[in-house]
Amino acid sequence: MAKLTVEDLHSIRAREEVKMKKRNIEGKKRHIVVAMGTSGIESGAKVILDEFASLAEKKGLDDVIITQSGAIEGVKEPAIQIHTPDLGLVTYAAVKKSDVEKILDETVVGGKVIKDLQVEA
Amino acid sequence: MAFKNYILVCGGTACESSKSDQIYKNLIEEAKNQGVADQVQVVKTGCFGFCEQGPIVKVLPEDSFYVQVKPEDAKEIISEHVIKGREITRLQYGHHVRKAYEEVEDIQFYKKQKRVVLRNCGKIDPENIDEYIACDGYKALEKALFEMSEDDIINELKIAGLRGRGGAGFPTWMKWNFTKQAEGDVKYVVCNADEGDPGAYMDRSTLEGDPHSVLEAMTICGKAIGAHQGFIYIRAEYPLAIHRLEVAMKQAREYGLLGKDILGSGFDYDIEIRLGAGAFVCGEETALLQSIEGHRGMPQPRPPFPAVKGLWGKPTVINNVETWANIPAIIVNGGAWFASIGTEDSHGTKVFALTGKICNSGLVEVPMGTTLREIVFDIGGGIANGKKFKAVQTGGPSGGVITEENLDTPIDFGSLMKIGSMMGSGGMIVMDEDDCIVDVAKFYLDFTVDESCGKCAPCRIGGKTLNALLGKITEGKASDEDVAQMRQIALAMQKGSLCALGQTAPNPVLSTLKYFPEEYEAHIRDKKCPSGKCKRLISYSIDPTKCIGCTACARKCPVGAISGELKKPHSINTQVCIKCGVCKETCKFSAISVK
Ligand SMILES: Cc1cc2nc3c(=O)[nH]c(=O)nc-3n(C[C@H](O)[C@H](O)[C@H](O)COP(=O)(O)O)c2cc1C
Ligand code: SF4
Ligand code: SF4
Ligand code: FES
Repeated sequence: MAKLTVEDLHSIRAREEVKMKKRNIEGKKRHIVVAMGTSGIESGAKVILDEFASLAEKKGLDDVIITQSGAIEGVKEPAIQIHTPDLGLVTYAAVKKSDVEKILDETVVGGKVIKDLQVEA
Repeated sequence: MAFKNYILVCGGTACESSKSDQIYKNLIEEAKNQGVADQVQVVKTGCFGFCEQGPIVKVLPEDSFYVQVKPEDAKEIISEHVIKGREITRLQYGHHVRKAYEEVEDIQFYKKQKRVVLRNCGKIDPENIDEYIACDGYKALEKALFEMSEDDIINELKIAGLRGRGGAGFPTWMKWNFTKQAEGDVKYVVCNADEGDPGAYMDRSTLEGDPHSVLEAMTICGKAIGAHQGFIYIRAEYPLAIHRLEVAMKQAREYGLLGKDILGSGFDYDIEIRLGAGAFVCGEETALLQSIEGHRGMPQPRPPFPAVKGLWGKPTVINNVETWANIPAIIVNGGAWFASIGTEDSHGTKVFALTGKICNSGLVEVPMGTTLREIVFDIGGGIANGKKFKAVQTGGPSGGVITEENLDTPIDFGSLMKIGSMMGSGGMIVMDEDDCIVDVAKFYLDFTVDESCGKCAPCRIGGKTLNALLGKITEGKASDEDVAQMRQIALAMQKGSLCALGQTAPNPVLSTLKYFPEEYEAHIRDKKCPSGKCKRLISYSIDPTKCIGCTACARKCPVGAISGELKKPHSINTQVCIKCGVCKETCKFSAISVK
């Protein structure tokens, strides 16, 4: 490794900050929880989880935490839950990969519930 | 970008000694075996502070706080948590079950803490310089090298009002300023990582968890005072801290953050490690400098202070590890930010190693001005086993006891002095009703007598005599005159000793005499030890009305002092009994008592 210049130091910091931010959860208020568990995984929840992760990153949604959970009982999987200070808890069932962008835009960012996907949990 | 879990495994000394390194390795291995290596990143961090509950494993972004984890739990963490998203309640602190979107219920231990010194401990991998850089690392150095003059740097510390964390609380900016102004072309910077206080491990944890912060601060000091060489004096019994420092120094050199022409600024600076053999007196600054020079570690008269004549007679700044670790944060966030934390007398935070008869022992960092009650009862969770609080000792062997009546004192340098103790380096030992206060004073005096270098008579002879008198008290052989003599000796030691070891050694005696006079009286006049600790003053006996003759005690007694027939009351032969207390613990019928 060559000796750093000030610019090198800045670019290392910029690169590493992105990585550190992902594991930093402080102050993040909006949660997206993807139900995994055995049945969730069988129904394709992993694809949904990864899609949320990659789209949220692409859209630069810095204050969103995406986590996994065990199964959500009694709903059609893949299922997710969204929790924000404004909306409280919203559950969506039978989520398809193509729904993910819409969920991010309308519910997580826009704060509107998508009635077609919503179920009572 | 696929979803990823981050598993932080504590790599502090306490957790490593309960196999956290194996947990770390197993997690990586299991992730590979279960085909999810690309979905997890396992990071070994510094101490989380909650060593009592270790080994600690934290899983993000779910924020699961797993405690007392075993190497064999790695398999389940991967298969259940990482793959199926199921939090493992069995391992979760307090076994709390929570919904995934719920914030982790604030863990009481962390609630009132504020992390400045320990900002990166338990967060970054201390052996990866890039993670330090990501958390504002080396930002302060860049600022100091390119945007600030020498006086700007010193002035920032003045605004911050940072006072030394090694014990005495001397304003850091003044030390730097004296050294900068001192005559001499060669100057030195020294980090005091000797940490000899019994029970203290703040400095060790800081070095283990965030070594770069100390390296960065020492380099900034070099720029400010015109020094090009620093030394870290650390005790050899801290192998993990030494290793982390060595790795950090190597990485810093590779990046050109140590060495010649740092960041192209034209400033040269490097740091070397010097190992100490673990003598408490070598933590005293003049003795420490002697030891670095290769002499016997004996204190020297001051003045001249190290700022004028230090290492090899050159002007030298010597600061404590925790003092250093504050400095990059001050330069980055500004002195005013630092001054806004704490009390008028003392700014910033203080790290304490909380130990003794407390529920949650561990490393805690609180803003100055936090009360002892908050530390002992809120953060520490109160006294273990439902016992009654008796006192807390701060300042180690140089400090004093603090009792119930002073528990609401806001902690800062000034207020602790006022109640007869001192800040010290951060050891905080909690005592309960079972602790004998004379015995506690004797414990500390035994320590200082052992550690005295013997150079000056008040400490060498005074300490021994004082200790002998304490011994007399614990044996029930003392009179009131002995106490008067103790006070006289204490005064002579305070006034006549060369260094603070001797000057402060009587403090534990004086403060216990002040706050627990009745306990001394019980030993001296009634020949009794109220806590049942001092062996010469107690005897064990069996209450024949409670004893059912189960023989359990007789079988356990190591010296065969208990006799009696089966199903008939037993008795203890006090001539033979060595007062070990085993029988009392053994008896299920509370038939054995100590008086
Ligand atoms: C007997 C004795 C032991 C000491 N041990 C330590 C120590 O282990 N670590 C430390 O930083 N300071 C220790 N000190 C205080 C140092 O002499 C010195 O005041 C300190 O390193 C200055 O740094 P600071 O201004 O950053 O606190 C000790 C002092 C005495 C008298
Ligand atoms: S006070 Fe004690 S430790 Fe200090 S120089 Fe004198 S003998 Fe040595
Ligand atoms: S105190 Fe110890 S030595 Fe004495 S009788 Fe009990 S078990 Fe035996
Ligand atoms: S060493 Fe692991 S929490 Fe302190």
